[in-house]
Amino acid sequence: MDLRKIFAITIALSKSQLRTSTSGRAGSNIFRRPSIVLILDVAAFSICAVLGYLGVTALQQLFPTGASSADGAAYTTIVKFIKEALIFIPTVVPSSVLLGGILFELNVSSKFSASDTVNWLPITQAEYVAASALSVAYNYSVVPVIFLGLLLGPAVYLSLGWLWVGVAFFSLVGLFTGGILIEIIRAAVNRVSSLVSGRARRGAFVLRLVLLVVIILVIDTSFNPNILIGLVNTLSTSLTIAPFVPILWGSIAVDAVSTGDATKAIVFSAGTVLFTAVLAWLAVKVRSRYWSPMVAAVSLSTAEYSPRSGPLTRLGLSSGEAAIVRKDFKGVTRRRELVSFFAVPIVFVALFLIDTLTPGIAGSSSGGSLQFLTDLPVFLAGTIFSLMISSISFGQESKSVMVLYSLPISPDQILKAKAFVALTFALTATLVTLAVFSVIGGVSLASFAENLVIAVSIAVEEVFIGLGFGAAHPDFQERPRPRFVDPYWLIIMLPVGFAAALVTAVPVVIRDVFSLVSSGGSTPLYLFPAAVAFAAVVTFFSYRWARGSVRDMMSEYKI
Amino acid sequence: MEEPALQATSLTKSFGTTKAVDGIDLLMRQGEILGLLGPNGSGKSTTMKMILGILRPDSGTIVVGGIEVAKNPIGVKEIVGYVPETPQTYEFLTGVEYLDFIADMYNIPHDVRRERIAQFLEGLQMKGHENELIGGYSQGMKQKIAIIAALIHRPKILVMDEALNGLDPRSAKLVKDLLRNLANEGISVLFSTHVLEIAEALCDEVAIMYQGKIVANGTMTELRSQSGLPGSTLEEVFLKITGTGELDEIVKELSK
Repeated sequence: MDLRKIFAITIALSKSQLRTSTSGRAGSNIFRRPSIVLILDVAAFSICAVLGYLGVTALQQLFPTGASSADGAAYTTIVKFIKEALIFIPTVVPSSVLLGGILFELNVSSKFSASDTVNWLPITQAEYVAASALSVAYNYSVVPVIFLGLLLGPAVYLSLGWLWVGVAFFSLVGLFTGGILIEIIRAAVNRVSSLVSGRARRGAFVLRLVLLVVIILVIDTSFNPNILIGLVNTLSTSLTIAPFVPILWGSIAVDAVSTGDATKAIVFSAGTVLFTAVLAWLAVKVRSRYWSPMVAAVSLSTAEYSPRSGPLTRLGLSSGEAAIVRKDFKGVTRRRELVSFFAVPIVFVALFLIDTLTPGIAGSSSGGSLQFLTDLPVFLAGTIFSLMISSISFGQESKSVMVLYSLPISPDQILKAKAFVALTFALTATLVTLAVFSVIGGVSLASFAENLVIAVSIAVEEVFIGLGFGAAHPDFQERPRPRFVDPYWLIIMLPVGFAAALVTAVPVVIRDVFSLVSSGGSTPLYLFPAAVAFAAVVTFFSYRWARGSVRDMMSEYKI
Repeated sequence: MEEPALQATSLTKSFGTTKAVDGIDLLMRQGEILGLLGPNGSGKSTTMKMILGILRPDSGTIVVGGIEVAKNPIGVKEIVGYVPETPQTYEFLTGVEYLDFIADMYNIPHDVRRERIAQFLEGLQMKGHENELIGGYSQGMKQKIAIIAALIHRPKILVMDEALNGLDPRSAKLVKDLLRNLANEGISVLFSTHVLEIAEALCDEVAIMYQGKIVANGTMTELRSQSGLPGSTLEEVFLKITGTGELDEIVKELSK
């Protein structure tokens, strides 16, 4: 392996991840240079170290004589917490990188991922994998930096400085491990995409989505912090299990260092490094096997061309509107970067379910809390899904939006078609989630009806909020990681959407709170029509905003 | 007097401090092939996008087929076919799905579109590839699909921005002959290219743009006369008019 080549590719990939815009002068903007990550790391470390130092100062004032202070038990608990936190870091780092990767790396367009370069430059697959993992590790380095900064002061105060150094080492290894896991997922997802594109037309969307969700769930669950925290907490008592979980070896090594068990520390340190090396080897193999360097000429049909009207025009859509709807539906089934937008909300709901319903992790659930826990994902999924799907409606046209500019279709027709697509997906997802969780939670018919009204209201209002933001601030740039919406406005959109959903869900929240505290109270019935009216008002104003924005957008090509 | 297919008057467009189009006048008669030539960045594509209503001019007016673009851009788009300089299509659609999408936009009856699509696919040697995803097409195949999409509704005016880029010789010849036939039938073509031999052979009139202005305009004979180069090729005329003729020394430098 040529280290200079790896370094060069790492810098190039890091730049491609940071430079999300293809316009402008990248060199003159500090936020588009890889060095910004280092600057942020130093700043985050300094701030967190100061916070940690302040914590130590407070600890000294509260417990001037340590464990022999008046409240010695509390001091011992705090010290135990700090030690466990140190032990916990090597495990949480790869999990965090993995989570970040699922959120931000998997929708990278293969066209722009710069990974094809490996095919015509003198670079080996191993060099590319190493560089890619390093660039991911570098870009997510702020995660361990925060933990290490916070715990530096307490570690020194408790004479655990040497342990802190060990944790820092395992954090670096963990960062790299996380980067490698992302590489494995990328290759696996690419394999799924090729498999589905080549062999299945009908049901391709479902198959691709299911495979994608399963891959992410399996890997993420294997590195799920909640499960791992439970295991790490039992390290002292359940050492028989932990050695069989490689991702915990770093934490075991740190624990061994803290207890002065040198042999164990050396064995598990070596094991951690070896595990990362095995993953790296696997990533190279998976990539070599499954990465298709060029887009294959995929033929979807052998049938003679025979135009059909289809049912959409019978639903009141014009010929042009129906064409956009059909095009967008096909896009969803065939565009990898869009499938991940569908997969992420599903993964989050599934992870939420796993976390909350797995015995021994979240504790047992009472009937009241179960009702709450089964209602929450419905509204959460409805909100996230509706917002995300609708907000990408315009940006996902990418530069091909030029086609719409050159065709005789009005802005209002475009908005109608986009709203139709987003509503179809949002309502379907909401109703399916509602049905599944109602069955799981054994929800009564009355509660189901109430949930249905609120969930549909939320889905509709969120779709139009998303369309408003998506139309007002679309991002058509074709880039390594297509964003579809201006990220600053996306950050604003999410709390706005959640706030609207929360207000709309007030009747259900009140009902579930009554159910939790078993007070025997009930939600005033008038709150339900009030919530629907609120959603209607939000929908109306969001629609007006979206309409104005689409008209403005289509008045001139501004890309 | 016959109404012009296209009339642009005092057209201006700036991007920031850069004046992309600087007060140009353009006239294209019905059934005419007008070549719009100029070096990169001279304002050709910007002019074409303004004609189509994709970009709004800062000042000036454009009338296409008797319709003022600023007042009725959708009406203009209904009678114009446009081939952009890089084929912008939906790569997740198959070739025939994309053409079907375009046909839907123009509300072309099913039997008509089926026949037209079949003829174009056959003629441009795309038969057998129509059910493949456009993402897997070569540059030339994408260009062919973009050309078919621009022609499928039988436009009155064609705006073609370097439309022959990437086409194989047979397809390029076929498109050139097709354009000539369409012009003979009364369809007007605004055509930009960097291949001056094509412009010379195909265009009835040529307008040369340089730094946002039209610096020469007319038939080949008129251009030769304007440049003081009788009997010369369009390339020689172009290089003289755009002031990019001192290439010999640069070539010598680069060859060292």
